[in-house]
Amino acid sequence: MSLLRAEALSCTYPNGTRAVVDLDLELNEGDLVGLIGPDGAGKTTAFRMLMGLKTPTAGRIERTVEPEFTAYVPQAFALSPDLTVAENMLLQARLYDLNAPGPRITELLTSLELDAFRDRLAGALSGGMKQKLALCVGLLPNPRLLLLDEPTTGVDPVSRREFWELLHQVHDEGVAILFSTPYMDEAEYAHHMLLMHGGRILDQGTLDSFREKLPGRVVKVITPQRRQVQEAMQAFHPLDLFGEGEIIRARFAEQPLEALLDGLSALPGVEKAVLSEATLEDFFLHALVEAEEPVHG
Amino acid sequence: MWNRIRALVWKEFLQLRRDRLTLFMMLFIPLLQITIYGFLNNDVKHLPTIVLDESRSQESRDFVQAMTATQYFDVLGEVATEAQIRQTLDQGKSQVAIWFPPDYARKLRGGSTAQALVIVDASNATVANQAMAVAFGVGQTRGTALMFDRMGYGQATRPQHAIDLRIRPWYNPNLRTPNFILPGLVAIIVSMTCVMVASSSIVKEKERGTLDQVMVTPVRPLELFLGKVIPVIGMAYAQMTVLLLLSWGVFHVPIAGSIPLLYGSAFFFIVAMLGIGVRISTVAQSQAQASQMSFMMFLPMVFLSDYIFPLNGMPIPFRIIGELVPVTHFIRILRAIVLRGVGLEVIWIHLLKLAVFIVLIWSIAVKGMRRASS
Repeated sequence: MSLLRAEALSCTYPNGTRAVVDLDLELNEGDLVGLIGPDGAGKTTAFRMLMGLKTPTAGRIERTVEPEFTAYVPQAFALSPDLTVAENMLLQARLYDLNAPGPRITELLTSLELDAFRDRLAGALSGGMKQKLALCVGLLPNPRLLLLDEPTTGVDPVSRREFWELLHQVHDEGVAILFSTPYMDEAEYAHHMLLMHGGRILDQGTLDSFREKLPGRVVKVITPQRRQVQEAMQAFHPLDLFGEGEIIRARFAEQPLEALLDGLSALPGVEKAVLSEATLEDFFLHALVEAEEPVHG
Repeated sequence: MWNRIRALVWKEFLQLRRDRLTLFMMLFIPLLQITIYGFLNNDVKHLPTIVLDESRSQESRDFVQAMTATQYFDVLGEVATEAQIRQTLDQGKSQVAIWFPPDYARKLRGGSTAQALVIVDASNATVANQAMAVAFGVGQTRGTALMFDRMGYGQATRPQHAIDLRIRPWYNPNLRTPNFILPGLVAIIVSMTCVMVASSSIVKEKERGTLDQVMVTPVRPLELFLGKVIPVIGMAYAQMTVLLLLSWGVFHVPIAGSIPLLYGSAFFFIVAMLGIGVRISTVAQSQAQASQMSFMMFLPMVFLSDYIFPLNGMPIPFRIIGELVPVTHFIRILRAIVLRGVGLEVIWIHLLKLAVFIVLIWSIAVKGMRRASS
């Protein structure tokens, strides 16, 4: 059953900036959908429009789920910093008319290890703890639809894992989740992904469908001299090439694999060149290059 | 070192140039201040005056003429009874009444001392003091002149003083400063609370982004709005109660009129001031801007509201602004109920003006809220 549907949703700011262009999106019961894109892609504007906080300049939104069963965790911490953790939870419970919310509050705070801080002012929490509290507040009314705008930004890796464990548990209970993230590793938690850049959806599908669509082969090169090696690799005409730390990932058009790997391994400074499974990041870069008219958002 | 200082100065100017509202306030507030301060005038002229002339004589008319010649008194007309004097003063239609008894002229002609009475509305002590001093001066001058006339014509070897002018300050007979200052101060303080608390509490939420979190809950816009303004109304009433209790208990300012009427009238005023606060919140982007704008509002509220400086002494444009300011009307309501002890029959006109202001300011505020939310 469809809970939320957006058709040709657009937002153009008065200065002419097109933050979101023709966004089509449908969220059904039990969905776990990720809106993936870098900073400035238009994700937050899209969320704000979906939640009715911003009026679209064009398009249509149809939300069949009642406000009582919808929760939204914005990107920026939006709880009252001068209320304690427990008071923020209690306020949310009262705004949603929840009866006897005490046990549920304790359950949620405990699951994200916030129970010990229930009397601390929300403004005095660390960035990660604030995000956890925002999630607890969002989950308190037992929503059927949960929208999370970059929920793990600023959260440490351990807390991030706890965060996602809780989200998976919530999802298993039947809650539809739409989340946004700039992190490609996190994006892979989504069952369905929308890749967004410059306000437009570049492509959408599952990780497997993206891998199938990605032409060529991806090679991972390990080297302590990344810059020099990256330059030398240009001679092999990569379709995409990017590196981080000691790793370079490059995509090449279909060609004899053995010769390619031998050639790359022979480059000065290269420790190892191996065939790699395409990641979401590889496909995102490919989709970006394919996009005809990138729009800044 | 100078390069770094130059860089910091450059940064400050860049920021200032981009903060247009602060720049506007920096230029506009001093202009407003100097203009208002420049025109502030304690020399009150043209006080609305009525005459109860039971003497119906040339002598009484001469006295009235001498009073109006000072330009401090504008005679609006005559009344026929003492009750009408009370009525016009209660209603605030006149601030001064001159009363000549039937034997005024006869006593003057007969060489004895004639009495006349000047009644002054002393709920505004500044106005009353001046009116009384000028009236006293006129009585003295006129009496002395008549006495010399009598001496000159040899009617009396030991002439009596011709005019015994009695001056009666009503509503604040001892001309106590607290009676005059404190009711007005209640209006000023309550207005500051309403404007500053309402505007800053909304802007604070906007600044922190916390309004979004509430707006995505099942809370309806009206519920959100009432949730914001009810605490401010409660605070304003609590503040007003404390101030009135202190005025009465510590400074012995009596409350002559109906307390329920006072509290009912205050609701109109509080709602009007909340409208200003909400309007500011839709324009201001930060709490600092909201404070600056609130401060800009307080200047005309304090100086053009009849609180300390009488509006009668101001140039006409300032008097018009003063009449448009809700504080002016609430101060008049407060003084009318607290000092004069009058009721709805007198204050209804101020309530009506406040009601018109409420409709106007809330129309603007709601339009601003709609624009801001879209």
